[in-house]
Amino acid sequence: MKEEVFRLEQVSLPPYLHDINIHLFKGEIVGLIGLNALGIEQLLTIFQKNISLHYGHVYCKDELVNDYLSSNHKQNNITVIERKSMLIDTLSVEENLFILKKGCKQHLIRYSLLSNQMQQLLAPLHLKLANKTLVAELTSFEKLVIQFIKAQLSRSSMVILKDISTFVSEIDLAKLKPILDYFSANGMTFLYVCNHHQEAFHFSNRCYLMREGKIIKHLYPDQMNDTIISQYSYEFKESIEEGSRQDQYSKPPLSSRDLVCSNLWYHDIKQLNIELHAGETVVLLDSENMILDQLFVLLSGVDVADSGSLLIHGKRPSLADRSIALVPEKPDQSLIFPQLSVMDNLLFTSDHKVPHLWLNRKRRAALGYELQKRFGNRLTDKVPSDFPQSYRLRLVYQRILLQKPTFLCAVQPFASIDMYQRMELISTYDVLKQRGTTILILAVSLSDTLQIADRLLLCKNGQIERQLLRHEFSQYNGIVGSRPT
Amino acid sequence: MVEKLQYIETRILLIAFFLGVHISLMIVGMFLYMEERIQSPLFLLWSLLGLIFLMAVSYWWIVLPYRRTKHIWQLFATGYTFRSIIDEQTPLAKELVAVNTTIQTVLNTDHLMNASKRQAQFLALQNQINPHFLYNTLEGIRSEALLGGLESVATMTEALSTFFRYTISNVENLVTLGQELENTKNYFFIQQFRFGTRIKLTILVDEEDTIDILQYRIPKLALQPIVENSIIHGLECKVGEGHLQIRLERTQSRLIVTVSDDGVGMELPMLEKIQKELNTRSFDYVKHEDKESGIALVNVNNRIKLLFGEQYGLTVTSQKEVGTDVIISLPASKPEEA
Repeated sequence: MKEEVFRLEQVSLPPYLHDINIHLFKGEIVGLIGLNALGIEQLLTIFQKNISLHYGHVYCKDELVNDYLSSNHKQNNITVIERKSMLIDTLSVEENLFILKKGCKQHLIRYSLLSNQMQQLLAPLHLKLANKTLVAELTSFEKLVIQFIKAQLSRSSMVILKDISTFVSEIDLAKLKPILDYFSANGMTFLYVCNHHQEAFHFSNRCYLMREGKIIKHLYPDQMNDTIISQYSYEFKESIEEGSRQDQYSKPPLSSRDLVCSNLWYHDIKQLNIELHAGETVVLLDSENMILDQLFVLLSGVDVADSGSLLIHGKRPSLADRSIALVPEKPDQSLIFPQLSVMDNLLFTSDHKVPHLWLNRKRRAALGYELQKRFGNRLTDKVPSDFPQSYRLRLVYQRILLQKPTFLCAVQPFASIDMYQRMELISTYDVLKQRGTTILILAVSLSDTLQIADRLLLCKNGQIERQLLRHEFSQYNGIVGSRPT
Repeated sequence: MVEKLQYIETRILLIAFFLGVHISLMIVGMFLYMEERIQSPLFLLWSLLGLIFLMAVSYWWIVLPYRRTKHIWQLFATGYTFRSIIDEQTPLAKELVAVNTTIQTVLNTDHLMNASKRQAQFLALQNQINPHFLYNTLEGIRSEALLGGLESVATMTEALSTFFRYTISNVENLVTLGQELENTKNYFFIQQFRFGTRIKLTILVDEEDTIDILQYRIPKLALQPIVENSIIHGLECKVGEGHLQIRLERTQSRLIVTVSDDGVGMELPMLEKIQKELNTRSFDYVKHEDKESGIALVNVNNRIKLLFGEQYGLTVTSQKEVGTDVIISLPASKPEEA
């Protein structure tokens, strides 16, 4: 007999969720694939907290914990593991595991005992950590595993893994499967939330497919294949496989070089050599998640390399250079200025293209009139935090289109966004490519980056290990990501 | 008096009375203070605390039950729930209790149950007199007879008579899953004479549950109409081989039966129409004379909800070119537990 850990029965929370039926059994890994983002956050909130529902019943371990008639607003014993770790960096692993937990009533802490217990817990996972290691010194993957152990120790009913491929490297994702299997064999239940079906299929026993706040398909193992999923994502497939957009990759790159990086040394970067030709789109995949942040720092001109050179258009990179655009991860949060209006957010990097932009109100109004079609009538309003992610992301990329940079570097542009946003982003990158912009994409996992790439650079130990051209992309066997056909 | 306090109307009157008394006392106190008959301003603090207390009582005793009742009325109006309006609300006034009683009579479960059951039998009988069904079945028998294989003719006739017997006889509401599954397999067997090996049925059960799970109770004619729907609307129109899968799962308290087909699937408007009918409580479908697509699903869903409660029932998902899944959620109960 299967033991039901969590069940949502006909849960409705308009306008986000409609008639959601989900059940998770003990020791299962269940995927939740969002074709669009609507309702995912609300659904995860319902798992974590007994909030007021419009209709429906929520059962945890077969006990009714929430329904439309009475919501106690209490937290359920659920662990959510996402990019922002729940561990405290300045404390040791032992302290995070054994002291920062409910029911720890010891006044005298015996570190040797805690270290011993920690080593016993780590042994079956083949993870070796020195005693009293600070969490800050752990890799993303090690932090992830420690959080699993913490969830196990706190007897969590369920663990929600949210978009983990955005912060765990491809190499570590490959190591994750046996670890997940170990914990699920020990009775831990996982809900694996992601946007890519390949990723969910790799880890999960079965999957739920969600669109517009509804569960549109419950996929059993025999149905977890590309043929079935393509029926749900045919719009995406059609848009990326469109003939004219594929043709743009058949043109040879120009001989001039926009980015030259030679013998670069900086922290974990060891003798990095990259050359990007004008109009070329290159993906740099750092499957160990070691150098991306450091390279981004160098490209933004905040710091200089220990040795070697990094030149963009023959010059050292500088933040003030409007011919360079840098898009960090989650730009919908970091590149939006809530104190500015939508219009100012759009135009503030375009003043080099439109003379006297800030003095001439008529010019701004004329530009605003053009932009109204995409951004509605609220151009003069400030950007509120409740604007949807798709709107905010569109705003960031429209700013870049107006800025017209010749070099663009983006970190994981397809991370944590739904299928429809990915389609829009691919067409934005197509426009940039058609304008001749040189694009460097820094990625930990591939996602859909190969759809817009001419070349893939695989990085290992801080240097380029291998290069694949567009027709060779199929040779790369990653867990996450779509490849051009 | 205590009995009357269950009505929101009485509570409002009571709180209003106390509020009136409190405000009057406050005004008197103010006058006495202004005329310096009361020296300490402490009475103001007590008045304020009394006011806060009355507000808090009003919130917990009036506002919250009112909101809850209002929400239930909204759900009733949109068809989400029938039972809660009778069981769960705090009545606004004594007169509304009488209104609820009348609604309860109108929604009498037995009447609706009988209507639903009659319709289930009618839908099943319609199969028997459906000319295509009959012709195809008889054609199958004739072909078999022409070929001279008397054994298969006998098998087929036996299957048909078993199916008729199960459908018409036994007027009880509940049968075991094993019995319902046998009838479904029998129905599928008859349909196979028409479709040949073009349609295939697989029944998946957890090994440890194989025998035990068949003992659980299920409304009669709950599974066969869903399989029939899958064949007629899903697999019949499909070019090539069609697969039908019945997956049986059991948890601590539930029985989950999933009927999946890899047929042509449904158009979104049709799916949304069926989902709406499944999610909202209405018995308008009983009046339907023609056999619309999805009516059998609504019938099964309503019977389950009437028998076991609103938290059980059917869920349908479908996609063109992928197929349709119908998930039946039932309480796990055996005959001896009834």
